[in-house]
Amino acid sequence: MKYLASALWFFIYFCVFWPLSAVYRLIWQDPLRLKHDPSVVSYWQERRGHQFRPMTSRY
Amino acid sequence: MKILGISAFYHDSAAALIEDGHIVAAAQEERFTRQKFDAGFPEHSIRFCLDQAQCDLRDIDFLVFHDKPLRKFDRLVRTYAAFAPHGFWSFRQAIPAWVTGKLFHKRKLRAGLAAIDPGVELTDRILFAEHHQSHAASAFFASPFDEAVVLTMDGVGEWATTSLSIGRGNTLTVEKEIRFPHSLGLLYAAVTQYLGFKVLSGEYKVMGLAPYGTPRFKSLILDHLINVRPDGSFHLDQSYFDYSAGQSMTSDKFNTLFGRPPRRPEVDLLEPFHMDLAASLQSATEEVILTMCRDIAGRYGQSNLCLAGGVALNCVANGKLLRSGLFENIWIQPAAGDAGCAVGAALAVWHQHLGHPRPRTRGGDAMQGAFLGPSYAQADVERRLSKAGGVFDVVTDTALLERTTQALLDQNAVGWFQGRMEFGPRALGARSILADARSPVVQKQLNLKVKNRESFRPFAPAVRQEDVADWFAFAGDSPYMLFTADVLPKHRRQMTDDETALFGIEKLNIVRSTVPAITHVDYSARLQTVSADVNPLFHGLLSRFKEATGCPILVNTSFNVRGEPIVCTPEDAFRCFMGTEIDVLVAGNCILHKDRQDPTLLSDYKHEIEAD
Repeated sequence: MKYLASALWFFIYFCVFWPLSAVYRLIWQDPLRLKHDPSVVSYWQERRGHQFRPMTSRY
Repeated sequence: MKILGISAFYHDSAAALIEDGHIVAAAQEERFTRQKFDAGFPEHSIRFCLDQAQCDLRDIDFLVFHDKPLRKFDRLVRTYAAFAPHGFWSFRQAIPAWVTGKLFHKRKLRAGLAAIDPGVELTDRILFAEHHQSHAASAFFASPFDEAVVLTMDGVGEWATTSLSIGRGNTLTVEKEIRFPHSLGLLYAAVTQYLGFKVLSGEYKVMGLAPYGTPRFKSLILDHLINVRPDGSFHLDQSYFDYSAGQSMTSDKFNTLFGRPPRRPEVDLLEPFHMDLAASLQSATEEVILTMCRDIAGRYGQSNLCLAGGVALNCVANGKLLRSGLFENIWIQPAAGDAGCAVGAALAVWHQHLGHPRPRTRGGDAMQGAFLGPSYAQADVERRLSKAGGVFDVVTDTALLERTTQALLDQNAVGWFQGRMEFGPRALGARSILADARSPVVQKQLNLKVKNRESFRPFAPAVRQEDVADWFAFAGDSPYMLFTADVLPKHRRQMTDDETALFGIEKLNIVRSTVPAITHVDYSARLQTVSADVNPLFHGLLSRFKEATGCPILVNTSFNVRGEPIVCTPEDAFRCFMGTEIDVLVAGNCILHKDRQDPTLLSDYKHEIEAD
């Protein structure tokens, strides 16, 4: 069962997640800001609306 | 109105209960379960909070969780997507855990609450706050300030690793943030692991190790690992790290940069290289924080600064920030790690979600000295100690101070168990081990024979508030042991040329001042100031010790052994007393001497605890 689960996750990761990730990276370019840009003045990211997200029972 | 805050499921679970904006109780789950950094549902902590408030779950108006799990999952998935195909084994471990459990936090919370009260239904009263909102609220709403700039820095929350907010009255407006994977906390954790210490508990050790070394790798860190802009914001080069999608904190490229593999814990000796790297990391961290705060001070014009998040526990950086004069006042949440988020989330509901105004403070903060945990009545202490087999005398308060002082003068290590347990990582005079700071051998003896921890680790002084400026280069208030300051030159001992030439761990055994047990190798000390209004009994002990010796300072370290949570109950205190070379235990008004105890109750349990 343990090996079956690992095989399943292997399939999910390399056959589904990885190809989707490749597309994702092409669309979103650099979501984690992994590339260092020497011209960047600041690495702070402004918060839209300048507020924390409302506290709700949705998480 | 009662609000229950919960921090759970990652590390350092805790619960806090506030009533009409007043903090009634707060405690970490590890203290009850005796599992260090217990990440489980904080059932014991919640039960304690309810008992303290004399209510049950049905009386709770809101229950608030300290972060938003779906946003955290979103970060996790995007991170794996950014690093694929690298990261399969991390993905294999993390994603199933999320899919089968962590994604269903509300269900887990309901199940945990049902174990406390099977009939209770709180679903429509459960709220979720952002992680850094919880940190920021714990720093600002508990502070004595009406207005302040609030800086939070930790490993990572949902996405944010650093956030900047402005607090005014009952509002907290987030201005900007730095996001994962760029994190000062994770940089510190990565080097901590590389140096052979555990993440979460080893960061203190790195900070304590730093003064033994020379920061010769600082430029290497700032040139390669972290790029810092003039406003203090930063970017980590992920090619040197592996924490985002790997099994380790650092990558092979990191090892190549520093020219050697990671130190193997408990196998490889600490060498000057490790001390120099610790010094370099600490110096780089201080530079980032000071640069960031210099920009914040200039940009926002605020005279008050509040800090929270795990990085805010770096008392050496805090001390330098205070001495920089960038802000007139700095207040740091004593439970700055994730446990404090339980308090912060609850305060955020009261002030931000419900819009209630801040209560007028008496010039102090809302944390009540951090004494928010359980306490035990004298009769209960006696009953529990008797049941555990303890032999003790019951004495008056005056005799208690007299006999404790005498025990300290006789160079004994004293277990001090009094009043409500501290909330947060520091022992502040409720669950402490005390010793004579003037002794030249106490530092080594406490480390090796009592605490069972590394010999290089320093001890902190507790000093009477009114005496602090006579002994340290410090004039303010440091009730939570979150600032370091130097021992004044008049109390230092002149070094010989040979002593000055010593390097690294050789510096350890040199007497540097009239209070050598608390004087680190760079003459710094992690201060706790004790005031009579917050902790009158402990202040009374320091006063009595000063009368006897002229010295108002005692060594104050946490009442536990290495890897063990701080003691919570009288039974925990008795077990630690009997399992270590603590000579005297003072619990409530009971005094226990080791040589009067039943020798069959002696135990060496510290070797059963996993080293941290």
